[in-house]
Amino acid sequence: MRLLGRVVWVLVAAGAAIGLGGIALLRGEHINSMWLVVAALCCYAVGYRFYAKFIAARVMALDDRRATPAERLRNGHDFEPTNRWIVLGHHFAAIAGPGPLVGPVLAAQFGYLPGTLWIIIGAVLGGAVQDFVILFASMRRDGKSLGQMAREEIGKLGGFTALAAVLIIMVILLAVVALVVVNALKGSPWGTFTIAATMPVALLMGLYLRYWRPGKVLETSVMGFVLVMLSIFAGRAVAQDAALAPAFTIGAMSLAIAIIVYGFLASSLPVWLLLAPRDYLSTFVKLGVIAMLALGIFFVRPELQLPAFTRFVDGTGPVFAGKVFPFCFITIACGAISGFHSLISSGTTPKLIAKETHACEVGYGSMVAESFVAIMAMVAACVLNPGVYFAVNSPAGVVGASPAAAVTTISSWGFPVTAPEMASLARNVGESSLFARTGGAPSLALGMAQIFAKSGGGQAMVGFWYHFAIMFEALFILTILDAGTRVGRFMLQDLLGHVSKPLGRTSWMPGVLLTSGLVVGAWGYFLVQGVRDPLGGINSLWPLFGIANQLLASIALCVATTILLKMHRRKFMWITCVPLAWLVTVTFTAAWQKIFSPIPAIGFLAQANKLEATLAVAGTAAATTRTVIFNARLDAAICGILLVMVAAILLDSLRIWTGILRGTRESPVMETPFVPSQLRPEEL
Amino acid sequence: MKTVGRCGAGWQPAADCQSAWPRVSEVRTVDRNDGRQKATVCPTSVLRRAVGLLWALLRELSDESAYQRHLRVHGRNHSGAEWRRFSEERLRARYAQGKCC
Repeated sequence: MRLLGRVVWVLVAAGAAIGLGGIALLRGEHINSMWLVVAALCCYAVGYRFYAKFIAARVMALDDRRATPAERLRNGHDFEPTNRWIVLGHHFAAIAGPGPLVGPVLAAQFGYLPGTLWIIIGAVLGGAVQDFVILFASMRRDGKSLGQMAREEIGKLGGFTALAAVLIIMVILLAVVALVVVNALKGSPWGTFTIAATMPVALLMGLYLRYWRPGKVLETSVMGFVLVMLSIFAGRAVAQDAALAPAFTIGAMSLAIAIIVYGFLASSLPVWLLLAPRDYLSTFVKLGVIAMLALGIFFVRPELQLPAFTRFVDGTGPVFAGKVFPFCFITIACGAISGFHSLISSGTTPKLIAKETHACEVGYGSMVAESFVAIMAMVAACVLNPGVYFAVNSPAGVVGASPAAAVTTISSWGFPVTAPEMASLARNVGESSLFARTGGAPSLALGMAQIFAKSGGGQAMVGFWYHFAIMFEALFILTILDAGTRVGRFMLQDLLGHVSKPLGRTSWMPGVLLTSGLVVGAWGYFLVQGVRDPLGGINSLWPLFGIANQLLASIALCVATTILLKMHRRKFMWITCVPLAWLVTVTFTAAWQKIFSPIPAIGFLAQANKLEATLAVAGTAAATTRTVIFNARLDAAICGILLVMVAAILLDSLRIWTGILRGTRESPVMETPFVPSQLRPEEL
Repeated sequence: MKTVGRCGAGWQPAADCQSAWPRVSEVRTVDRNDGRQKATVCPTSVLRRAVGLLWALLRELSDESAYQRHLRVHGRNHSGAEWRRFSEERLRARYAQGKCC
């Protein structure tokens, strides 16, 4: 390394150290968000330059002379050598969902410090490594999926566990993201109209693209974007109209039912009509908004209003119950380490990599970019007045149903807020109330609106920016719902095809309707459960989702460790074993506490027992309470299943690793044989 | 100093500097004194490359590039029916996987 290079890297490392030191040690004053941004960017740079490059060179020995599947199996469709930056953008667009936006907002109840440190350290040492190693492994295996690799490298149990984990995650994920949308839109005619308008817009885009301007996707997306922007302005007019506003002012349960019906219809419709055009649009909007938020934060450089730690690190938080360990680490999954990414890293991306060394930028680089999105979400949440943050994110069952009760409770925690202040804020963003808007999306939208308004437009535009942010979140959440239901249907049809051949055919309409109904019924059940939950639903569903997601990350890291051992890299197995050990500890502790904690707000069984006792004393046959009791026990059972799955995959992997390390087990490397690359530089 | 790469010295945009996005935006010059090559960067080329990359990314995300490859590989011309055939196959494969959280 040249002297100048060394000096630069010393400065970057010093920036990381000073940034981390600043956010960890500055107390008693509001710190500027730039501390978080500088700390994160410098840590990512150091992690990429030294850790990722070390893994690439010493552990995986990436070799550009070796032809990648994109070159060997080139077919112009799935397999196509592609410019590294385009693959990076493609991969980033695929992994960036609502998780890195919502998780940090919820975890901000502990203060900005625990979540920020976990996002940075977790991504640099865990999440990015997982994505990178799985991408590498899949690339050396012709783009095989995580499930296939788990089956081949660990065994049938590993493959089955991966498949089951994906199904469980899918159901819980769809329910929880649908709940986020319900909580953002309940009682909001502006938001409801805007989101409702995206559906005819998407249908129009689908027809336009298929029949009027075939192949003109960018043109269609621009048209869709303009129409969606117009629908935000129209939404304001609808909300202010005495006749129209009541029609779009819908309660939580009605919205949940509407979303369930939508999910069923959307997943049964042809893909080109609704899902694909909205997916194109939401991808562009997502990338654009993330870029806008980054620019806005750099431009405004807002101060963080939330403290480094809040009193809720002790587990008594209103947003969700549980101590900072382990709940901070399962609440923030996608911004730090997410098992779902391993499915993308072993999906489309390995089939596009032109040169092996590009896997470093794409796998590691995309994950740290996603981690930065999580940092921005944390900033957006923390720029809010803490009292406002808790008023928006605390369920009525915890702080009280009336504004007066809620502000009294929240102010008593040391976060002063008044009912007129909340009313004024709600009026500014065109809402009737912002109390108990749990789920993270509304508070994120508020924070983003503040940043965007300060960047341009001023306070007069806060309402527009708030609904723009809600539209942006809801747009890709609905795409996830539609696509997820469809995937669940395919998996179910695949399974049922063994019982009855017609049920397995994706073109047989009765089979399509039946399986769509079953999948929608599964996530719809949990969605309704979340709406009915007196603690707001997020308290029970988000931890379940976090545990399931981290379980999938554990499976991915078990596969990665097994592959490293088979590659005779035993002295480097710590690179995957350290994050694996951490994840197993976190997942086990969280799942155990969610089942067996004696505190009713945390433990599902304790909650069920408490409600049962209440029922016995009151003597009233409250059907709703009985349903809540059943749901709590169901959640405990799901948590138990996840625990058993983590234990099973871990024990199975340990058996394989012990055999390899002792030399008693054959450990053939399942890589495709070396073929020299013929790719010319001008083809990249 | 002798220019050996694209983009003439003094940031004169030479004809080959205006090539498509994947081209290198570096100018390599040879120092006459010690004969060592030095890499410098052409700002217009960097900007053009960045815009080109962004455009290429948008086309890749929108499947327009994949459609062009499809036409090239199969030696077919663009038509509504061809787009529908391509699109159905592409979307079927894409939505066999869930969207990430």
